[in-house]
Amino acid sequence: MKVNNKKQDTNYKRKARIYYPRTYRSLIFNLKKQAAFFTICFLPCCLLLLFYYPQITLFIVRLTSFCISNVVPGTVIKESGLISFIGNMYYLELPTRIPDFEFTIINIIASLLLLWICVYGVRRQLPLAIFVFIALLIHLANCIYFIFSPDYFPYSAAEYSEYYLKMQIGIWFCVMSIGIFSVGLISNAKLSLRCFTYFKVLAYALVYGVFRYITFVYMIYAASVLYMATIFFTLSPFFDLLYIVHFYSDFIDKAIVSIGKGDGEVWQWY
Amino acid sequence: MVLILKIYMGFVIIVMLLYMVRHALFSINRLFKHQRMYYHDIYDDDMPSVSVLIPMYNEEQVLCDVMEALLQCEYDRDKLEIIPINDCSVDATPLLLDEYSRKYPFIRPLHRSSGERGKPAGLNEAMKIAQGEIIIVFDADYKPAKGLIKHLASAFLDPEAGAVMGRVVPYNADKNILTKLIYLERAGGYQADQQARYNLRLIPQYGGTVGGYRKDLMLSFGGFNTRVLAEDTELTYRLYCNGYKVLYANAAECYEQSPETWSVRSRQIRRWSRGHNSVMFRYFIPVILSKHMTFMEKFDGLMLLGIYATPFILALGIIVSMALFLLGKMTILAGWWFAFFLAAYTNYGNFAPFYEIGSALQVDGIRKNIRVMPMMGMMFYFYLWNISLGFLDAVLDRMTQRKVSWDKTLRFNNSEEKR
Repeated sequence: MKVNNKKQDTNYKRKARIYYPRTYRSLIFNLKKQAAFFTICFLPCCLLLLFYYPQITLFIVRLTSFCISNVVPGTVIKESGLISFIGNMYYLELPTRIPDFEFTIINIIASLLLLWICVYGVRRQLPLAIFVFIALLIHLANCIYFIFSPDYFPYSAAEYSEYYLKMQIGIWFCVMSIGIFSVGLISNAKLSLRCFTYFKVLAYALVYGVFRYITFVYMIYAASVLYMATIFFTLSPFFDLLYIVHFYSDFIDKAIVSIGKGDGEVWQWY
Repeated sequence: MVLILKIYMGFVIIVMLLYMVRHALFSINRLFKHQRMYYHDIYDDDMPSVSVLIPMYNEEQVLCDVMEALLQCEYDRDKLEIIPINDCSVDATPLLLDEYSRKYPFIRPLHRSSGERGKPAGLNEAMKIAQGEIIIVFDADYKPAKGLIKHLASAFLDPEAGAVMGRVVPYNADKNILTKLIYLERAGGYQADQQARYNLRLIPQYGGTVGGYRKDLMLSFGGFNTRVLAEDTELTYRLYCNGYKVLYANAAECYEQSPETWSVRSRQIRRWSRGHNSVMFRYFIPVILSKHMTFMEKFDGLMLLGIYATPFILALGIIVSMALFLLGKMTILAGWWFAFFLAAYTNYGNFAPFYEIGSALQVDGIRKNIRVMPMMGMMFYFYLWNISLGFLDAVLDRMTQRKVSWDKTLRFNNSEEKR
């Protein structure tokens, strides 16, 4: 039978390329884009933090001193070694307030009461209850320490202030590293979107770190060093990762739209 | 004393960083490398005969869904039988199954009223009466897609394939925060993690449902070990230690009902942890000594075995770091403590780290539920607690040789169907 090719061609639109389903698709690695992201975003920020942390910490400490000067008297700006060939970092020295026995006992009773609330009934299975439960256990352990040997507590408020800023510098480096990996390396979205997300995360990390330092320094002074362990173990790095993931989820949401329009320029199906 | 604590902290950091690197490599592989294809392009007239086994205990709420979905499946009826395993149900499950059996002769329910209880025991008994060469297992809350059985069975045309695993997708993802988070975990765990392991010829895991295995092979192993809760993980390691492979069929999607309450999820996770860790205790040395596994398979096999032990290692790490804090060693914590926490969180915020989930969602092109991703931070503590308890259960099981009992995951009948 003779096939009418002409008729077939007009009736059926032939696909130029038949793709595999999305199940087996993958992104095309664009070395130029990745290198551009690294050069524009990661490298300058990393070098800036590395060589200017003395100035950055000095700025934070001055700002903190200015903010809390009315409520925390006797603060002094001090220097501490970090990387010898770059320079010293700065921290705020403030008076140490040791909790008295009654205050510690009140904290123990309050912790036990809250622990009971956390483990009572169905709410004990909730993630928030588990988080608070762990935080309270840490606080309780610290309180018990202060009951038996308050004079031997190994840290002063000034030491906390110093270690916090050291940790904060570490956190900023980590935020940069996570950013370069999650937004830079393992995505193929538009360069502008990736750079915007990266700088947004870093800006937030900077502001949040400074705000938290001011808050924690004030808390340690106002409510005593009894809260140091709880603050350090439960509120510090954990909340950094929350905003990192928040910005990341926002980025992925936009990236899916961005790369979804890319077809052959973005995806490979083999 | 302080030195021991410091050494332990060093060990925790190394373990966490290893898992972080592993997940990072999987994400890169899944996103940018060429994908290893499955066998779905094979069309063969001589497909193997298949027995579909569905363990059931009081499943009247979901039973009809799975049975109706299986009836829609495209597979030669002469080569297909369905064996629902009624494991001492006290609700309407036996009646409903008998009704199906009357209407469709290839549905042959197995009613169990005595003997050892639980999924492994039920599967062992059903395998004895099964006529198919290949066993495909579904849980009662699953809804297989039309082409799924054919899709899974085609893998067994490869003689090296001992088992095959499909992709699990929750259909009740929109129900609440928990189901949304489980949806994200599943996406990362299957689309990125399992596919990357399949690409890299490492160890994709047989998950006990939405998967199949060779009946003769399993019977030659003596059937499932009824003392192990994670019979799926055990099967994976048995196969690899005996020179067979587990294949992953990413396109073989099946829809599951994920737990809708935290208490149900908590029990499920604790049971998984208990079962998985008991398999770790049994197979850690055999994997190292295996003559059938490559170096990379052994390495990945050991990492996979340890995945439910690491939250416990991490929990101990938190206690140790608290001790170091009180001993005045905060200076050593300030420097690298954050790296430790970072590695821990990125690994155990969930079963797949956030960047692995992001990779999977990019490939899937699905924006649904992305915004709840930061909530996985809370899941970190939830899993830390429950998986650690499961680990301790497994240690006690090992020490006391006590008998484990199966705890069924509660079903929910008010889920809206999303397919």
